[in-house]
Amino acid sequence: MKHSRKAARMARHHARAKKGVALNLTALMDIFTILVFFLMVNSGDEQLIKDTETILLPRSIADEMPKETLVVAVDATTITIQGNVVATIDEINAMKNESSEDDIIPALKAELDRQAARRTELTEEEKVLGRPVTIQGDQKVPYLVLRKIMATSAMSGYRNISLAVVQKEIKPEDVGGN
Amino acid sequence: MRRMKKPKEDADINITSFMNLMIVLVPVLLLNMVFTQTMVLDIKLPAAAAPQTPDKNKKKEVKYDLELAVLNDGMLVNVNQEVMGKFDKINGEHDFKGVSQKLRQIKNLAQLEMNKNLPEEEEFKFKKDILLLLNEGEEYHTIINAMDSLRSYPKLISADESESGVAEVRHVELLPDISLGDVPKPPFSPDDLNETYKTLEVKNQ
Repeated sequence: MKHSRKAARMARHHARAKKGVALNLTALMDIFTILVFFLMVNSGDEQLIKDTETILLPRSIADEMPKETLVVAVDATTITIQGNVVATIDEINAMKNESSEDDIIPALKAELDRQAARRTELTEEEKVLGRPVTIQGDQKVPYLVLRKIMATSAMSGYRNISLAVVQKEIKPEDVGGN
Repeated sequence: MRRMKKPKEDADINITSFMNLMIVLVPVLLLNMVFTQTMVLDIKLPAAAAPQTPDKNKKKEVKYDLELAVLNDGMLVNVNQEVMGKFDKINGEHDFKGVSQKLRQIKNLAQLEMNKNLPEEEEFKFKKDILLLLNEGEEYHTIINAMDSLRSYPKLISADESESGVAEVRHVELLPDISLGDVPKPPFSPDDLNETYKTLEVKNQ
């Protein structure tokens, strides 16, 4: 059966329309690719200090990135190293507090020494600055406890202490005048 | 004559699986992103470890000994054991701004005073150390705040001055070498400040 020209043209047109319109995805792909790379780079530094519910870190303007170190976590009731409870705050408060020797927490010292004994080879940096340790303390921890922990870790050779904080930004409008 | 029929339409790459991957990957990475950034404040204890009493025999190189005592009801700025400024709490909060201002003033004055008799090339840069005296019950966040305001002060760089053209805040070094010590237990005389308290020297970087 012979079509008229018009019928043939219409048939062609319908066939073309049936194939569907190709979406132009180039821009979307670009965005996704950039986004994925951006996010991957950003999440590359895996959080070294784990958030815990019992510890609310203080806020500070400090801008140094945390390093991978031994973490001593201090909350309202206990001191933990790598998830193991080492001492309780009650124990520390019950300690004598007269001379500087009283600043050493025996249980904490034992645990730190044990951790230190695992790796006896020190890097050049560690020989100068001491072993690194991060103290993740709740913002309500009293100075007495903090002092004892710092004195104890210094005693065990952990002298390069980092205090974990949450960064706070200071905006230009907060700084009145000079 | 027969011709090879050219493929008219563009060759499509099948990107469906790639799109699926992206759609999964993007939310996963977004969720993983950390919005509150944890930072650290580095302190370095001297090799001599443990608390120590200040060495009295050590020759004093500078004649300005700065102290900031954080007390329950306010703060004291001492220079050579003399109270130079008292800062009461404002609305139950320590007045770190006032302390910072006072210390900047003292630092500038001291620098001028000490350079008065020195030839220009031997100009004395003011020392960077201060002793932070704390009560045993002082809370950690107060200590951090105090250390923050001692280490540096924020300086406003206005939009005209800054390179980026936007107003920004720069942290200018104030007294970064902070030693921690205990507030002497009452009753105490100024002499006690010298001897009785235990200090734990802390070098800030």
